[in-house]
Amino acid sequence: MSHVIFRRGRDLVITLLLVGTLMFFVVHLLPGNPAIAMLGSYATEDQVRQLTHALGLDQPLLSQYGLWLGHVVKGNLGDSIGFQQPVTTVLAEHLGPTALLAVASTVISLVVSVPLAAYTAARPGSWWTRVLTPLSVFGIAVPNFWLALVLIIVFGVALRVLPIAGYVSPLTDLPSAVSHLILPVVVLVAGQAALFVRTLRESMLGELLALYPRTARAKGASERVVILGQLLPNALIPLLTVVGTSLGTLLGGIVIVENVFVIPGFGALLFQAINSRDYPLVEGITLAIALGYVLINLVVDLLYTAIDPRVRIR
Amino acid sequence: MRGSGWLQRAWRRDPVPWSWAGVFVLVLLVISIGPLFAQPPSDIDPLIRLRGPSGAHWLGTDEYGRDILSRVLTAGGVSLGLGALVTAIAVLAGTVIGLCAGFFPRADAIVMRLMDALLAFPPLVLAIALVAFLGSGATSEVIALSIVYAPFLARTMRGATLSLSARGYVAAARSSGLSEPRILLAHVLPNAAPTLLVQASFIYAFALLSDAALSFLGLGVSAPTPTWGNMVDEARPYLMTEPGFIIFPGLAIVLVVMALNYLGDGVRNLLEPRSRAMLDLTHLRRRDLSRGDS
Repeated sequence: MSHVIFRRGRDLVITLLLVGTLMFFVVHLLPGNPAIAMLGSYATEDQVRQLTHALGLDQPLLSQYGLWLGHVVKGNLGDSIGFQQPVTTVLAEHLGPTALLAVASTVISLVVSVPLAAYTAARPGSWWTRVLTPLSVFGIAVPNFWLALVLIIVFGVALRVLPIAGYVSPLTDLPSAVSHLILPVVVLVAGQAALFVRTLRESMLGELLALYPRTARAKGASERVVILGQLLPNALIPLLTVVGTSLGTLLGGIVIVENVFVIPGFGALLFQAINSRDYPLVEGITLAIALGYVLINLVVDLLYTAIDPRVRIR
Repeated sequence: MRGSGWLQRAWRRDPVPWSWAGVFVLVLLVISIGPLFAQPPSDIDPLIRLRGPSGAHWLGTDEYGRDILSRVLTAGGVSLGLGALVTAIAVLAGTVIGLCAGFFPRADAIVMRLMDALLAFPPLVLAIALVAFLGSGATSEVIALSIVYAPFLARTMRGATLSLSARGYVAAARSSGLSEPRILLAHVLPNAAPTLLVQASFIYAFALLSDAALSFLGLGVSAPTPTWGNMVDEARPYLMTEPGFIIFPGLAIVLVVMALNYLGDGVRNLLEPRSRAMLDLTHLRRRDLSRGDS
C-alpha cells in the first residue's frame, strides 16, 4: 500500500506542476498587458511602465517563470491585484461556502440515489422505475443555471417560501443558513444524484449478470437479501469512483450556482477576478480548484484499492 | 433483409433511444426549416415587448418585442452548430493524439501527462479560465471547449488502441509487412470507431451544456446573435414580471441534450455485448417480475 501511495503522490506532484506551468504560460503568452487592463484606457505610459515593472512583467518570460515556480513551491501564489492581499488569504476567506455546497450536495445526492438506484435495479417494470429512469436523464440534461432560475421563479417569486439569493454562514444563524442553501443545493443535487443513480443502477445490473446472485437465490435467499445484502455492497464500489470524477462537474455547477444565487465562494470570486482582470487571483483559484479535484480523486482511488482487493493499481 | 431484421430487433429490445433519435432529427429539421417561415429573429417592435404567447407570436415576445420562437430557432442553429464544431475538433484531435499515444510508447508518456494535466481541471472551470484569457466570443469559445474535451477522447482512444494493438489481426498485419500508419488507419481506427461514436455523442451533449453555460455567463457568443444560453441570460431581469420568457430556450437545451444522451446509450447498448446483455436482463426481469407480481 505504501508504495502505491508514494507512486500516486509522485504522479500527483508531476501533474500539478504541469497544470501550473500550463496555466502560467497560457496567462503570460496571451496578447495584452495586464497592467493596461488594470489601469484602464486613460492611464499614462509612465503609469503603465511603472505597474508593468512592479508586477515583474518586463522581465524575460523564463525568469518570470522561475520566480513564479519558486514562489508556488513554497505555497506563495502572489498577491491579488484587486484585493491587495496574498492570493492564499483571499482563497481561504472564500473557501467556506464552496466547500459547504460541495459536501452538502454530495452527501444528499448519495443519500437520495442509493435507495432509488437499488429500487430501480430490483424492480425494472414498476411504475416508479418508469418515472425515475427518464427523470435521471433529465437531471443530467438540464442546464443548472436554467434549473436555478426556474426554481427561483417557483419557490422565491410565486410561492415566496425561500430566499432567492444570498449566503448566511451556518455558524452565525443556522436556520437562515439552511433556508438560503436549499435552492442552490437542490440544483446541484439534481445533476449529481441523477449521475449517481445511473451509475449505481448500471453497476447493479452488471452484478446481476454475475453468478453469485443466482447461487444465492438457488440457496433460498429472498430477493431482498440478494439485492440489498449481496448486490448493493459490490455495486457501491464503482459509485465511489464516480463520486470522485463527478466532482469536476460539481465544481463547474458550483461556479454557476454561486453566480446565480450570489454566494461568496470560489465561483463568484473567479468571476470577480476575471472581470477585474486580476490574473494572479484567476491563476490561484484555478490552481486551487484543480488541486482540490486531483487530491480528492487520489483519496478516492486509494480508498478504492483499500476496499476492493480485486483492484490493483498498475 | 438481414439488415432490417437487425434494426427491428434493436427497436424491439428498447424503443426509447430510437424514439429520442427521432426527436433529435425532428429538432434538426425544425431548426433548419423553421426560420424560413418564422419572422426574422432580430425584428424589433417596441409596441409588443414582453407579451405572452399569442396567435401571431407562438412563444411570445422578448424585451425588444422580438419573436421568441424565431429567436429560439435561430439560436438552435448557432448552439447546435458550435457544439458540432467543438465535437468535430475534439474528436479529430483526440483520435490523433490517442492513436499516437497508444501505438508509440515513446510519445505516450509525454502526451498523456499533458492530457492528465488538462483533465486535472474541472471542465467548465478550465473553459471559463481559457475564455477569460482568450477573450470572450465564438472563436475563443470553440478553441476553449475543444481543448477541454479533446483529452477525454484521447484517453478513450488510447485505451482502445492499446487493447486493439494486442489483437491477433494487428500482429498478422504487421507480419505481412504493412506499415505502421497503415495498420493504425486500416485496422485499429475502424475497430475503435464505435467506441468513439458513443463517446462523441456524449461529448456533443456536454459541449452543448458548456456552451449554454458560457454564453449564459457572458463569456460565449454575445448579445445580438442569439444562443440558447444567452437568451436565458437576457431573460434574467424579467424573472419576476415575465417568467415565461425564460422557459423556452431552456426547454430546447433539455430536449436536445436528453435526446443525445439517450442516443449515446442506445448506440452503446447496441455495440457493446456487455451492456446489451444487461439490457436483455432487465427485460427478462421485467417480464418475470410482472408475471410473479400479478
